[in-house]
Amino acid sequence: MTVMSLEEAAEMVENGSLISLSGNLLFRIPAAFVRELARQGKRDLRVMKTAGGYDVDLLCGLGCAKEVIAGFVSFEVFGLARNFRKAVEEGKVKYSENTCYSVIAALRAAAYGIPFIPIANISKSYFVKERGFKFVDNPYGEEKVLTVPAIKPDYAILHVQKADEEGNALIYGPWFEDVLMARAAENIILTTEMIVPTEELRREIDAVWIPKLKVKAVVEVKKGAYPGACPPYYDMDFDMMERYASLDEEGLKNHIWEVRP
Amino acid sequence: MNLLERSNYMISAMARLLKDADSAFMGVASFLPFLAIAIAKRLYNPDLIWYSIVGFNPNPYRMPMSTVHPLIAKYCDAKLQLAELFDISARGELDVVFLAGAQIDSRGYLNNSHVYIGEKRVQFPGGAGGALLHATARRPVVWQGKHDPRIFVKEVQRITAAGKPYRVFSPLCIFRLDESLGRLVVEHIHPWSSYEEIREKTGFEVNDAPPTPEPSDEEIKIIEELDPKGIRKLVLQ
Repeated sequence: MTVMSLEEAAEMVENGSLISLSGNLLFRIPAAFVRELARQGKRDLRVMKTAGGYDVDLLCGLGCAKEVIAGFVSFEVFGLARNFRKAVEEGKVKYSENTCYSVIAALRAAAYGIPFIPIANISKSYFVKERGFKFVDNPYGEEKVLTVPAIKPDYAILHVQKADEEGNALIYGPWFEDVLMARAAENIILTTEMIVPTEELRREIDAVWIPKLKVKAVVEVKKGAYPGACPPYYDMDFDMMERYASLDEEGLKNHIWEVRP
Repeated sequence: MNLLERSNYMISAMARLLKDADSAFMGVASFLPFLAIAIAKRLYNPDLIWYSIVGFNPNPYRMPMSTVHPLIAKYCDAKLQLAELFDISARGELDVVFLAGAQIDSRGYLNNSHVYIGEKRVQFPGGAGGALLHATARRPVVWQGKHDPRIFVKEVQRITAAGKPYRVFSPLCIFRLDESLGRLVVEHIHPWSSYEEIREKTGFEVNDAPPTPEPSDEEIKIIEELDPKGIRKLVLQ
């Protein structure tokens, strides 16, 4: 069975897994799933995303993550991601800083089934050396070309608006990197605002870009992106995000049990 | 002058920079560039292509609390996925990009990564798309809502994004890059500031310059229509 509870789906993610998370900043983030990972006390997760917010901060603040591969982690109008910052400053989490473009490139290489991919020259940026991105000879031209290695997530964790029981899913609005992650990852876990019959999903086939292949779990979680937004159904919870932005580790421990699922 | 009026000066000057631009892109938490692009499209340059993270050519009736809000995508001419935006810049097709810098140096390089104060690391969020965009867009425009000697430094400790900035906006002045000197020079000083104040609050050599032109009534009307609640002042707080 692909349809399961949030608890069962989160149990599939082993400590130390590399997970990539859907959405961007506070939009269509797999927030309920991330809280469940924290409630289960996961450890040593490697978390990948172009621009993280609540999801990345929470996993860092509760000691679930050991590494963040991203280009940006913040809350936009709600200020800086306090728990992420603290964990990185204290050396508890390694921030494998990238630029969003190089995170995308690493996912593309994985999606294309190739070991590395050439990118535009961004070699003045300090993290190029720190990440070990290498120049190679261009076999077709003169100048050397910068490359990034493929990164293949163990799980793409995607929160979507609609899915069927088998794991075909649609996304309304911007995909961000989600369709790419689905192609690149070894496995996919879907949380969805609603499970709908396959016939109903087919009526919106133009939006259905996640086929059931590789989908290991489908979990119906209404308001699964809360306190983030999941348009067109709900916007962010501004009051909750303001409060969240000031929570420390103790506050986070309460938060994951208070905000259910 | 209150913060709303001050931000209007910055928005107006940003909008006027776009008179001859082919295209412009702004990213997250970019309230001033959002309003500047909207003004430029309505008053100065209707053919300006507005790239946003959530779609091609938005035509918003309000500025939401997030400049990457999917609500904006409802008022776009076409879909555009985030990854494509970087490709557009990598291909050399992006003209103006608005980039924020946590720390900005005399060359116009940005540090959005971290600084060490003695042994202590102070972590910033990261540069988002900046590393690519600063290096590949034709005219990067840098902005920052605060101005002090820790932000405007001679040389950043970490280079997150490097490129040749077209202009640098601060809440005190506007810099441009003098390529022969290889550093930023002051082009305009906002009317509430002065050469003395900028000299005191900047970590590199600065010059005196004429005042920033006033925003026009038409510009202010559009700003107030799109941002009636004054979200834009958050940038300067």
